Amino acid sequence: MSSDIVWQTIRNNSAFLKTRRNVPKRFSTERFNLMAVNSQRYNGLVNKKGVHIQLSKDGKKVDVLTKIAKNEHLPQKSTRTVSILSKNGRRARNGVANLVKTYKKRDIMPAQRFISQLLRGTPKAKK
Amino acid sequence: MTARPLVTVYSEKNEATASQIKLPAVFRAPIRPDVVSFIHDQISKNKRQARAVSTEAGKQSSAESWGTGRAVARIPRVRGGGTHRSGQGAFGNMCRGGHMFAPLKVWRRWHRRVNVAQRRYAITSAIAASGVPSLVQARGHVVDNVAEIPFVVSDKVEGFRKTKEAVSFLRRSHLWADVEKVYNSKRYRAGVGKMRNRRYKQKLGPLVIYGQDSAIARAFRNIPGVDVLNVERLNLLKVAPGGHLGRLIIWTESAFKKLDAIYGTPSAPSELKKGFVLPTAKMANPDFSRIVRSEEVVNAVRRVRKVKVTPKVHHNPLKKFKLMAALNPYATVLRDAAHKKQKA
Repeated sequence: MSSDIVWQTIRNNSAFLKTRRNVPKRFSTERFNLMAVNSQRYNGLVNKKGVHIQLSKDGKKVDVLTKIAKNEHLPQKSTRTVSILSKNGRRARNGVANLVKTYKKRDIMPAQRFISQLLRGTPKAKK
Repeated sequence: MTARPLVTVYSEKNEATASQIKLPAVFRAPIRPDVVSFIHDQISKNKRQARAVSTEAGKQSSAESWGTGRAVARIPRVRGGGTHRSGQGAFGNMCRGGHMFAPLKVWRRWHRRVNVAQRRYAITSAIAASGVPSLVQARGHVVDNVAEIPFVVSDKVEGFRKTKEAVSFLRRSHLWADVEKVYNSKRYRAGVGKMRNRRYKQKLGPLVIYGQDSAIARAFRNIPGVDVLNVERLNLLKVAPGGHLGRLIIWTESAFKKLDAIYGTPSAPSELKKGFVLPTAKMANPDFSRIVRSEEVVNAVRRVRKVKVTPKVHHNPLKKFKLMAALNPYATVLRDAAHKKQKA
């Protein structure tokens, strides 16, 4: 589905759109939006390709999800998950960059920023 | 994007069956949130019940103005005595107990006529939007684990008689998360509606659309958030609730197959809607990036002229002697003289 058309429908009106008084920037909380900003470029629903990063369920790895463009209409099969085992910031950043650069070059920087922030926010495991 | 792929039919246990149906042409109708929003707005006014203020409200008084000369405002005042009410202002909208400004009348225009062609445009647009997973997600439905959108289920679902069967079907198809969302969203309504039999509010869940009349409605109706509709009588207020596109729809196989007969295709006009032809979009190919990267455009467009601007670096002649010498040839002489003096 053309991302332009879907964007025109969603840009002002979406379950993930977050607007607050006195906050001029609009945020968007859907998956595959690495900057969490409401814009066509970073939107996770509108674009065929997308990268998302989250902690794995057991909390020990970091999962990098990528959208499989062909399976847009099959939500169950539409993501591919690769786990990054290292929780070291530098290693994780490089790992993500390697995963993303062949998939969607434009997302390398956002992905690196996202994973750095994510790992900063997770409490360090007690040795 | 006018390609019409094959959609797999899933069994009531969420297994892909062998049967596949070509996507009905309705799903390629133009997606027009503006049209749907407007038409929804109009149609939703049609179930309103008249309300008005009593015709005699505030007028059942024999009050009369005291006129001038009595050091009071000239508002009609209640006659008589012996009670607080006597001498109080009456009739005006500014008076306590008076009639309101512009008393509400029952003959207000409550309902709106909507042209049939516009209604049909809106519903086809809403159906098309329900086939776009992004729009369904943006509307707030939980579809992360649904097998396919549009979601078509075998006709066995139409044979359900028990809510239990319906629930287990929704669970197996990973649609229960959407219903759970409804359960979690139940809350008190804000405002006076609470005491007017509209106590609770909750979100909407999936919409089940069936092809043949059966007991399916009875199986699904008690599940919060779930609505049930017959394909031949689709309701825009249910397919695009709030005027927003992208409701999660569960089609039964027979309903899905009927869509081509009901709405028609570009080659075969609708059998059920006389004179109706599916709306066409203004642009055949709305994908900007594809247009820009297409052969025709790339060949017609000249190459980008990237002018490399390297900033000119200015060095300091006091630190770089060669530059000093270029600027002031005498500097060489001075330097040699200084060297000689040092040696001496």
